[in-house]
Amino acid sequence: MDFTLTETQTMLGDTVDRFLADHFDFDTRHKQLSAGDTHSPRLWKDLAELGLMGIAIDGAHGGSGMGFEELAVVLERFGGSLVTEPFVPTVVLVAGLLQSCGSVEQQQQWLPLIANGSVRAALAHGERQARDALNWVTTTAVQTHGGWQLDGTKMVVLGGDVADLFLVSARTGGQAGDRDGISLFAVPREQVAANVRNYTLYDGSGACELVLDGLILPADALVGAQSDAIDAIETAYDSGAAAIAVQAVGAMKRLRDLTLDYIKTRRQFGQPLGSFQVLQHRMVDLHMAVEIAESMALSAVIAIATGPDDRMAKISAAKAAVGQAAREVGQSAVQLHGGIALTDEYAAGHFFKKLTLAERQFGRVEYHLDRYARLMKG
Amino acid sequence: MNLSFSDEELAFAEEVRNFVRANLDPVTRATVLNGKLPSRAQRTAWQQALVARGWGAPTWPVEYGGPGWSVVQRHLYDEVLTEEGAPGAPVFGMGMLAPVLMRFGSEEQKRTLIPRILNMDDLWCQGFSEPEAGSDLAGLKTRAILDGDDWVINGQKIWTTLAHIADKMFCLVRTSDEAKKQLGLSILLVDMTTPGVEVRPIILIDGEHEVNEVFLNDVRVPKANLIGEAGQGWTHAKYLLSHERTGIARIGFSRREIRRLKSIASREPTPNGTLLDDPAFRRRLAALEIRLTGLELTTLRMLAALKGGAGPGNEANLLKIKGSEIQQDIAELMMDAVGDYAFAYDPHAWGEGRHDHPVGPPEAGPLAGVYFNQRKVSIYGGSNEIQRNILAKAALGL
Repeated sequence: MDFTLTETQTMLGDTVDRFLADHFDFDTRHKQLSAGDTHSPRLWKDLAELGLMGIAIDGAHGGSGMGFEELAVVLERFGGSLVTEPFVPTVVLVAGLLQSCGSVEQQQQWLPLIANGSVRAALAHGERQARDALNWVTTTAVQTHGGWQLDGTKMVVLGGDVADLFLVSARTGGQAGDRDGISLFAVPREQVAANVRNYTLYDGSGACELVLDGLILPADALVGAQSDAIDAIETAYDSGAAAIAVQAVGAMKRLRDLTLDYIKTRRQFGQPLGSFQVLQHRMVDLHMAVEIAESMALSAVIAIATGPDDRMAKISAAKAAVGQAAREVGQSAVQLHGGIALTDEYAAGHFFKKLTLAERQFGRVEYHLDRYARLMKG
Repeated sequence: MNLSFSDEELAFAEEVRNFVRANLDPVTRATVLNGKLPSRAQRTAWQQALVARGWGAPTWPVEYGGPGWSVVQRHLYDEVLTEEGAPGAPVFGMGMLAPVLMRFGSEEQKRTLIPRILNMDDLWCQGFSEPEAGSDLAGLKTRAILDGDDWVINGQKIWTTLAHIADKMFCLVRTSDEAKKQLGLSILLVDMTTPGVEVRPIILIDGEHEVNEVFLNDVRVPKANLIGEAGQGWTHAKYLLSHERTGIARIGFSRREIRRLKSIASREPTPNGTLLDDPAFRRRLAALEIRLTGLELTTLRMLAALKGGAGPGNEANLLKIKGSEIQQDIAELMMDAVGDYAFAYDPHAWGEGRHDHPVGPPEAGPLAGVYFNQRKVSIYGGSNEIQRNILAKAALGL
């Protein structure tokens, strides 16, 4: 039982804190988003130079070979500063999948480019009818002329608006809903550019719709064993759930501080808002929700870092709990502020939007509650 | 970071578990597991077994007979004892009065009283609340006046847990009138056999006798029974109540009850199998289990922050609020698990000397009573609203 960070982790956290304070304060972010940019190539390059893209990539591929605990140190701060960069899709999802099931050639081709910041990547898995069912894949991949032909549509591909590389899931066997028969393919952006529709999400990050209309890929585009990708995809989504939970905790802590500060300063009826007991109790409930959420996010991080047998149950417990807290904290913070929290120029509303998406991404509360209930012992 | 217990810690927990299984009387165990109050004799026998093993006072400093455990060991010890159905530690004497005596008591009080608490020669009760002083404790009216070598006490206490079987009571009384009402209070130690002490039972809505009214009419107490100096009672009481709130999250208790809930649900038939297979029920259960995990991890995170000897801080208030809410919600789901058989009012459905079968499955009888009784946990020890007031002020600076 040890909750302390290592010296390396503490230094990493301090570095990221300093960098974000200097280069990505709220005004900078606001200007960037107002200009319509989900992504800043300059910021991405700077973050790569700090070594953040390669934290969890091994040394042979240009990374520093650390793990998910160190990634979490970065993710919490990105959440706290509402960073919109495609860090989770690139570093957590795609780099993770390439490391767990990519071929030697694929790893050599892509991982160093991710680590040095030259490539941004996205996992194109979700489909319209699937809702939360990860095995609901209708996109097809058929073997043809020594290669593959892909047909189907992928929705809300996180980071897809700026991705240089997509990992696309498609069915090489079985039917929608089967666990067997799902495969992954590496698709460089230039091969699908005409069929990508980009858009911005409410938290300022970007996504795309990806239409695969008879896309022809070479045989070596297949990532991992044919028809056997579901376990890897589930693992990637669990990592995504842990990552988003940690980001949410970072955002919740900042929003708690902001809200507390506001109710101490703002005066009505001749006294600070924070002197009213009804608001004090709401603030205490918010504070307690953040504390419990932080504990649960930690357990998710350790579950990903150590990969225990009951990883899925642990991730679902954490994501369900953090999701509920994100909702409570976001809504309460807006209510405690009043109308100011609904204005674009003030930070609280942007935290609320981030938390609202985080509550839902990589599995809504109901999905994780159900999955936990199924896996629950006894 | 490592959120798992170390091998040494797990081995320790196993040692404790083996000891409890070998030494706890099965009747006592069954009493506790059915949510009933163990008798004085059952409590004493168990406490003396623990003392013989050197585990009688896990939270005390070594010089008073504590085992010198880490905060994690203490947590594991509490959890295992609760899971195994051991009677709770004598909370008022061991958990509350003793720390106050160690800090503020006279040498004579330390020497004579603390060993008797350890061995349960004395069972203590807490005379704090009054009819007009609940959450507003400092508004209490029971008064003690110095008359020669005695304090003479007049007044009334209420909600006095176990006063009917206690030997002694530590009693918060007004010894002077000051502009700030907290300043005129003192703690006096009262022998329950003193003339003028009268205990009347209060029967709670589950039919149990657990709390009492205590009337004090011209009760004479020697001067030496004052803790510290007159007028310092509020400081002592706050110190004492801060100890009441540690361990109040009752993680081990809730874990045990969730396990029991699953066991009950697995034996409840439904049109489609058992209740434990019912998706709606499982989802409610899952939500509770996840909340308990969050509380447990938060407890451990806060224990780690205490780094051994430091006194309990504001985190205890959070644990009290969340722990009590979870206990109450478990009790409610447990009542729901047995369906309409929970409605049958039979407060003595389980107990010694009862030989007929209560109506419904054997575990159903006490469940509604436990649910009703458990509403107390968000009220006692400073209501959850008072806890929020404290957190707002102390943790958030409001």
